[in-house]
Amino acid sequence: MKIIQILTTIAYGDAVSNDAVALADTLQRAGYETGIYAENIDPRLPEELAGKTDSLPSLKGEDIIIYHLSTGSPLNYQIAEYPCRKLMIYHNITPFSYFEAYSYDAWKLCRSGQEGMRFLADKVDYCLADSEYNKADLIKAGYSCPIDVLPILIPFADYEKEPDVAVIKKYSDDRYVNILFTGRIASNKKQEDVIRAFALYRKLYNPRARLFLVGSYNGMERYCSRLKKYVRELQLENSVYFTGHISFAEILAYYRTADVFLCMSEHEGFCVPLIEAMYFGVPVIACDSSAIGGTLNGAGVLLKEKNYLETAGMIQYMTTHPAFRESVVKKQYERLQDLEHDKIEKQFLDYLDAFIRRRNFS
Amino acid sequence: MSEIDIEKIMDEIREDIRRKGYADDTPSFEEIENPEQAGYQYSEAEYQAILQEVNANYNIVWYRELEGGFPARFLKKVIRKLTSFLGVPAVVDQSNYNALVTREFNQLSGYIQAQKDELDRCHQEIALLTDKVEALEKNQRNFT
Repeated sequence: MKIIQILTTIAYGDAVSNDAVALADTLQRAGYETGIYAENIDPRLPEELAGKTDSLPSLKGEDIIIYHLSTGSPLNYQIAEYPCRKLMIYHNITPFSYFEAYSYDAWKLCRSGQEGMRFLADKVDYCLADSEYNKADLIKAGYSCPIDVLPILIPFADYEKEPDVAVIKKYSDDRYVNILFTGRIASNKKQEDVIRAFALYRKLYNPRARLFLVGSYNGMERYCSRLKKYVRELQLENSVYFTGHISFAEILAYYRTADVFLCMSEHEGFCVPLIEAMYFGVPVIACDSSAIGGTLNGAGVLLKEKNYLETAGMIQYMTTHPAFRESVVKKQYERLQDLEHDKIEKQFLDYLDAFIRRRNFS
Repeated sequence: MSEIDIEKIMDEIREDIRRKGYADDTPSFEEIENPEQAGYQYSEAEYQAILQEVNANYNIVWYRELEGGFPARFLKKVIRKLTSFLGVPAVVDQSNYNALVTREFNQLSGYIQAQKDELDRCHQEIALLTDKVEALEKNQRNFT
């Protein structure tokens, strides 16, 4: 029996790709014949990591496809035609309305992704959703197959790699408060709200503060231009940093220099950066939306309403009350234990085993 | 470990904001015009990033993978075949035009770079001449 993972794009540093790579490793160690296949393969990745979907091996009824759904692609339709069992991992698709003003390509991809997701509702045998929020999304779209929730498998060992020394040296130990948000520059992530809360914090509480918006803006140049214009309007050019796409070592360094992780995103299927911040002992302040509450699961500071003044006040509280900060970080470490690699890996293998057995019974 | 009462802390923060009379007077993002609709401020980095995109995407691909189930794809294929005599020449013309515009942009980029280099050279020359003039003036003062 072969277990093949298929995804639209396998790229360097992307959460869905990392999940697929981690699962492939798990499957291999569990003794399954496995492989990753993608429509687009990032040339920076090792050649042997993934094959193109047009070179898929022949599949029989007993084989299993694990399909990672996260965007629009012809694969969303082709998957239905493979003569084997289908397990879909749903990473969520951003509502296309967020991209209307900024990117026709992103708008089109998300729109077609949502159509594809509805098309697959009665064509897959089993689903794993990254979060309860994603599970609810599937049910709303008419999925009637069994659905379980499995958080993204995060390779925490990677976070122990060497951070970029230059970044740490540049932004540490100078009594500045470093506020961080990591994630693609994208309109659903509402970087403008992070900037606004930061502007108030800097104006009302602490002018010695910086905001790092770490993430690529590829494909979102219009939105990024507007954000930069907003920053100029607020006269924050010297304290808001758009890093663009940076190396993994640099990302690690930004986590290491951060005092607060601020997330005001309105749509996340899971939000890996929250976990990353927790791992690096950076207290998280986040607004409650989509899967964010579920991912934090009682850790961090979850703000029920989006209020910029109160968010700025919370940043001030967090950075001036060491005991509070410490208890938040401690709770975050406790939350991380639920997401430990071995636990999620075991949960995945248990779900997979149950899925295989269901076939054997029927 | 004792539970953290976030709501209690939030009440404290709200009270502090009220007492100090803090207000949110920052302009909202909605007030910021989308730069696509507004006049641009020149940014070298942005120009180069867009130029890269233009160079990568000037050629319009006519033949694309069709999406949908088998009947939808079949129907789309038939429509594509039937309309290709109209669509293909238009797309080719558009790609040719885009290629011309892209070449023009690349020329402009080269021109900007050349002007920048020339400006740098002029600045250096001015600095050099200023130093010379100052030295000469100093010499003259000493002489007199």
